[in-house]
Amino acid sequence: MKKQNNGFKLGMIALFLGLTLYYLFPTLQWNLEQRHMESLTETERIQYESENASKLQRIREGALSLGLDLQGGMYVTLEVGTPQLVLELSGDFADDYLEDVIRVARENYLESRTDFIDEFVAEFERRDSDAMLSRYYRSDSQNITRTSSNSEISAYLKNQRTNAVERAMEIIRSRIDRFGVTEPGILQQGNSRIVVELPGVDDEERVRDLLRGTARLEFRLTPETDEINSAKQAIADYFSDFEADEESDEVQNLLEIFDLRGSNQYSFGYAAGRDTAAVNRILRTEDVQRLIPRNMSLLWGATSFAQDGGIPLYEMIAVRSQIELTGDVISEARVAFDPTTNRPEVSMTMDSDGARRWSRITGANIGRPVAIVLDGYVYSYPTVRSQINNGRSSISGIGGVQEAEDLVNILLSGALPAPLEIIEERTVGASLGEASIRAGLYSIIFGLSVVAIFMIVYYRTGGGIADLALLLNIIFILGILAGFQATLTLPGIAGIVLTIGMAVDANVLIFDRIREEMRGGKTLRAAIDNGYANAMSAIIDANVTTFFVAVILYSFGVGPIKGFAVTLMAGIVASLFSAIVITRVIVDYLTREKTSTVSFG
Amino acid sequence: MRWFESPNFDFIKAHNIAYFFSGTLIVISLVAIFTMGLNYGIDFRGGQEFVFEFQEPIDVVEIRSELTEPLGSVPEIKLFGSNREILLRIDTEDDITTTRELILANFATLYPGNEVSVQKTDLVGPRFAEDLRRGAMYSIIFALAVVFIYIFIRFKGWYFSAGAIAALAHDVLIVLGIFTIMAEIAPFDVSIDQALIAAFLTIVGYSLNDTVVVFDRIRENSIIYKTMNFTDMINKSLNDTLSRTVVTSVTTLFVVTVLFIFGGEVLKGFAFALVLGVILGTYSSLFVASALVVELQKRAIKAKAK
Repeated sequence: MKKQNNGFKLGMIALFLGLTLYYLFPTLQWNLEQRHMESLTETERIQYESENASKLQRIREGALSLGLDLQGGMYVTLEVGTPQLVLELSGDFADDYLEDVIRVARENYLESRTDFIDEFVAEFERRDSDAMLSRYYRSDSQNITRTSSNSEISAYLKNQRTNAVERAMEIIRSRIDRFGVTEPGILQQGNSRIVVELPGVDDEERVRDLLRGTARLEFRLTPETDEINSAKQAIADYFSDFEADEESDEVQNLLEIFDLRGSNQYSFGYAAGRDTAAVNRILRTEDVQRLIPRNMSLLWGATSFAQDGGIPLYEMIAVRSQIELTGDVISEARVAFDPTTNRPEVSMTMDSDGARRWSRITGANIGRPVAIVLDGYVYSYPTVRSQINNGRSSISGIGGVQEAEDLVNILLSGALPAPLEIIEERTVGASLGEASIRAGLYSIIFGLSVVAIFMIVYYRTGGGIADLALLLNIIFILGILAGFQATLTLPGIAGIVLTIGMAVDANVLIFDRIREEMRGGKTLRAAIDNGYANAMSAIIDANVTTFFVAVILYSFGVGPIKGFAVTLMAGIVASLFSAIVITRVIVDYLTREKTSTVSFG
Repeated sequence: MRWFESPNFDFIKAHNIAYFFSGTLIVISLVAIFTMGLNYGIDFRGGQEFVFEFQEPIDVVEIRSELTEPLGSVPEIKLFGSNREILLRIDTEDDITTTRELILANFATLYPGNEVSVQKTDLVGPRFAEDLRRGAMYSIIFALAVVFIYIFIRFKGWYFSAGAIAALAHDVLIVLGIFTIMAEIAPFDVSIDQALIAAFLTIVGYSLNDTVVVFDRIRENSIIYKTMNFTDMINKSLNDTLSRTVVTSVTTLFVVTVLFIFGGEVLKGFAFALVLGVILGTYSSLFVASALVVELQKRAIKAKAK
């Protein structure tokens, strides 16, 4: 009976050990490959990598991956701007009332942190319980009619948000792939957040622009010069006899910071770079808005057009509010150089539908400028010389070649459905990561040695058996992590070190119990049986509660903390197995003869 | 080797001293927390944080005063491991690249020739920080609730649950107090961040381990020694398990100390909390949790008698 039992246990041990080694094998292989590649010269290495690309890829995917805190890199959490999305989905139906509901809903959402769309619907109904959201969102293609209920609209908006997040993730993936990062991690978090993990990236600013770049490309016409001039005159008149509120520290008279003389007839005026935010603020005020025709928009130029004593000056361009064509029609984009100035530009080709419309627009506006607007900034407004039939256009006024390359990347990956905001960003340098790996490794080795020596001194043979179990335990933990494709982080290593100290607890409970039973006069065999049996309930209770805590930590924690929770869980499972099953088999083997003894100190 | 072979300490009798000792520590901790405020790290407060590594040793006080003007507020600066590395924390609306370039430009004029590299940057938006804070609070409350329910089911007495929870709250509160008091004087980063919450939950798990093992023995002894009075039985259980409690505490203390010394600068605060937690957890399972169970059980019986 007992023999069979141990046979089963031995089988389990063999199975677990086999599984562990199977899962850890790629990690070992990967280490050897890396060592091999380091010994090669640069050219040999490149050749080796290209010859064994698929094999290396397979090994790397199977290997236990290290967290960003250990290998260095960038970790970014982005939030999809749901309020903007909700506003944009209403399309042409949007009005001031809706904008105000969205503004208040956003404030409520920041307060309650539940769900913006729920807050939006609640706020809308709070103002007028009979009002129908369908008024803003009816659409034939989405099957939303005048009679669609508010809850249907709410479901539709949530669905659109899910789509927007998924689309944003696809776009980010395509941008990152083009940027060339190995093993990027892109995950959804909650209902509107995206976590992007980029190992080994050190050009943070470029990545940031790449992630956030919405690439809303628009082609707009410009107003008649008479309209521009009369709007300018109205603003000049308004501010010439303007009485400022003296209690405010902010600039209130536009003319103090904004010069209405433009460099050409479409330029509305200019301001210093640092004053553009203040200009925007004044222009947004209701009184000033009234002076600007509804079909005219004022947008800043993307690059400074001149300098005043080292301070860059930016021009404001008057364009039509109506958008003639958007970037959706772009089918191809590449970096080119202006033949006369040799400055980089992005040359674009449109699809057939876009080319047809572009041909009509250019044909109808010969001799007038078309503004090329990207993300709200006017890049250029070249004058149309002739009708363009081949769907070609270009964006000039770009800072450098790298910027042009990134712009091509962003344009080709498509426009983000809603703006993304970076709400968390962490970067770790490669050398700090290396230092952390070293520190973690030392901690494991020292921790293990100290505990192992103590156990042998205190429990003699029993301690030695527990040490063997402990060693297997660590291998099991790594195997579990590799098997579940978990990532090893610095807190994760701390979790392993902690497990070393706590894993022996089960054996301490058992061995103390055995000693106690022997003091009570039992034979060694009986004491061992009773010791294992009686210690079990305490071991289970203690570990179940710790496991609960680890699960909670896993569900609430983010990033590296999750790694800690995972190793803690893996540690509990592995240590229970090795402390109860493995040590028992060894102890039983050592006491298989009636006369044999095992010292528990 | 054997420690506490067959000890016979009266732990329950010592409870007055323990209550006094724990009470004092808790009062000091609460006063510190309420007067000085919790020293939130970047995760829970938001802002920007950098770790810079210089080639040559630098002076923290000098850097702080030199950077205050250009940054627009006093940055929090601490040495990070060696006297060539610093941790800098600042609240600003600026883009993180702008801040970094501004700081590096100032370093270049302040220490020409002393090359500096950026080891680590963290940016946490204020709203995200609030989310993290909320998540941390929920996880601690949730963990305590689960522990309460589990012990209630397994040991069939609310006084066991209450005793265990009180001991856990005791441990976490005192560690929090010590961290608050040390905020200014500690030679390493002791701000309260996510890693520290992980440490707290680990302390909860660890301290609970000890407590549960004792409770388990109480349950067992109460079946064997039916006539023994409750106080004596708890004392006997504490003594029965004392050797195990001490041995496990020693091994765990070994590893967390190793982690504190060798685990690197990033884990210093985390490991320090664990060192404190292991010591406090052992103490509270021996002197606080069981004593409270005895007291609560007595009161429950009295209330029933009435």
